[in-house]
Amino acid sequence: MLDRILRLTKAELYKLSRQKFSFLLVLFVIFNAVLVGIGSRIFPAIMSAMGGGGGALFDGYTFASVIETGTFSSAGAGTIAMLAFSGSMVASETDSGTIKNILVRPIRRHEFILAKALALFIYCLLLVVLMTALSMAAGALIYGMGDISIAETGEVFRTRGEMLRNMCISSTMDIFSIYAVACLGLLVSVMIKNSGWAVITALVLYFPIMFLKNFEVFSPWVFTAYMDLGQNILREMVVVKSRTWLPELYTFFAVNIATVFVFLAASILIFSKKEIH
Amino acid sequence: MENNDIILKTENLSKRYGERWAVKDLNLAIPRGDVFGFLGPNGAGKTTTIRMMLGLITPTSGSAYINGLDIHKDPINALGCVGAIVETPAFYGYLTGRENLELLGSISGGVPASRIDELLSLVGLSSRGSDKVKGYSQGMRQRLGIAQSLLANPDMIILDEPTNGLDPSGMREIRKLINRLANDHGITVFISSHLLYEVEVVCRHVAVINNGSLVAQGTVEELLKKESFRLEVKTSDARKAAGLLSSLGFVSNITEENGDALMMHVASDRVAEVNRRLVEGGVEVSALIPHSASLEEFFLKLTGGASGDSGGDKGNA
Repeated sequence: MLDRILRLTKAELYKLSRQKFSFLLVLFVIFNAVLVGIGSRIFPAIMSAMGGGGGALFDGYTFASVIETGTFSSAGAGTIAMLAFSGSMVASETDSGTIKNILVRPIRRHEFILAKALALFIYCLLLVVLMTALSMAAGALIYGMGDISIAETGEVFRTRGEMLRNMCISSTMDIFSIYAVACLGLLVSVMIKNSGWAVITALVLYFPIMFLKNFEVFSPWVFTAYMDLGQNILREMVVVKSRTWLPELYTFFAVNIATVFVFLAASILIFSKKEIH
Repeated sequence: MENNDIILKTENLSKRYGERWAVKDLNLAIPRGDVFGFLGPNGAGKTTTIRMMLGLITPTSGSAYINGLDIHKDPINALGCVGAIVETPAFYGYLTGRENLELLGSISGGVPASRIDELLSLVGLSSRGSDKVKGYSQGMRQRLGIAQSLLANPDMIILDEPTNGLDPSGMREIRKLINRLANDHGITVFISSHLLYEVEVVCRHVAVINNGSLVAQGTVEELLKKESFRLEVKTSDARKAAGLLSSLGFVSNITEENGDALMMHVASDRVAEVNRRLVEGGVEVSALIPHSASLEEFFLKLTGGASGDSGGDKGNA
């Protein structure tokens, strides 16, 4: 079974590498990462010149300013991009009829979905790594990457190495957050035949789910409540010395892994019963 | 027929959509090494049957077996020995013909480049294999569809309306290809079609389906033999002959032609008796000319005149 899943995943990644759409998504994320990095430098200055509040949250050539750049707003762009991408993943094959060429071969339906999910994860991983690297590069070029110190005393309380590690943790959390959203898109893609409608439905469905985090009764359980947790902790780490990853990190992974599991199980269940016409 | 001689069989295969039975209690047996025609008017249930045979949809009841393996219980082994095109073959337009075959081959466990070359050559796409599929004509896509169905060296290929949308020369090419696959490569070919001429010239065995139910199955020869055929009787006194024959229960639809001949429907094994009765009745018979029933006539009779299309490039078979 694993052999068949890996073969299907390889085929899926090959298709992704040849599709214009997947390249456009990467370009979109790169554009966003770099643009926001530059914007974070320009807009506060403009706002300040216009007499508004403006000003970067963190002044000076420190790592804190890097954090303020594109990395984290890119995660938002990546989320929407992945949702659109995964929403069309199965639906486009059903829509065009290419799915029949695959399903008449000796593979099982759940292997097909698991291969799609694995390909999505790999794509997601590449996307986050790329956007993190680019955002950091943009931020570092603009602000530099110094240690974080207390302005009054000059005492360093987060070193550059420490912050690099923290950014990696935050980016890893982004991978899981975005992947959970991608799995939602995959589930929608399994249910809807037309790829255009599948993408629209996935996007439309995402926002009410995101809104659920505002209700206390749902917020501990809904994955959208944890989407920017990593970024928030990282930001707090810049100003609060005692801030750590635990115990929220445990909750984050528990909720996200459970969400991915539920979405994939539902996708497999629905797809196994689906009639391919 | 021995079980080993049957490559694909269905047992009471049925599919119901709401209150309507798309296929009902279908029992097919496809002999190994045969070219089998699955005939029926549009909407008769041909594609639904194929989808059930390939596991794309689940039957409401009944089973389909490939090489004795239940397709829904053991799809990996059952589908491992079959290639198929279901309806219009669809490919990734942004990939070339060769890349599409490589991709599908990799899913089946990997296919060497030499096999891809061989298949492209077999279907006459060697020179266009490096072109993107989005630029292919319908005929080229059909041929690429056949190539992809052969990727894993199957024992059998299932082709759903393989000549749909093709011009006469394209249809002729596909027919030649099917004959080559069966005769030179020993592959069992299952063709569904509503084109009667196509099935008549290509297939040895046929099954006719109408309104989801099997109405006939056997070799083309057997089926037509059972059917009464038209007999032309040349005689000196057509009127007297018509009078004598009309009293016989086994002769029907007697019509006079040009004053010296009669046309009638009669079973093939009663022709000698027609001759004897006429001679005994004092009518001189100068010729008995059988006009065999065509598959088209047989089909129209079975389906009550439903729209099976006799079309195709008959002259170019």
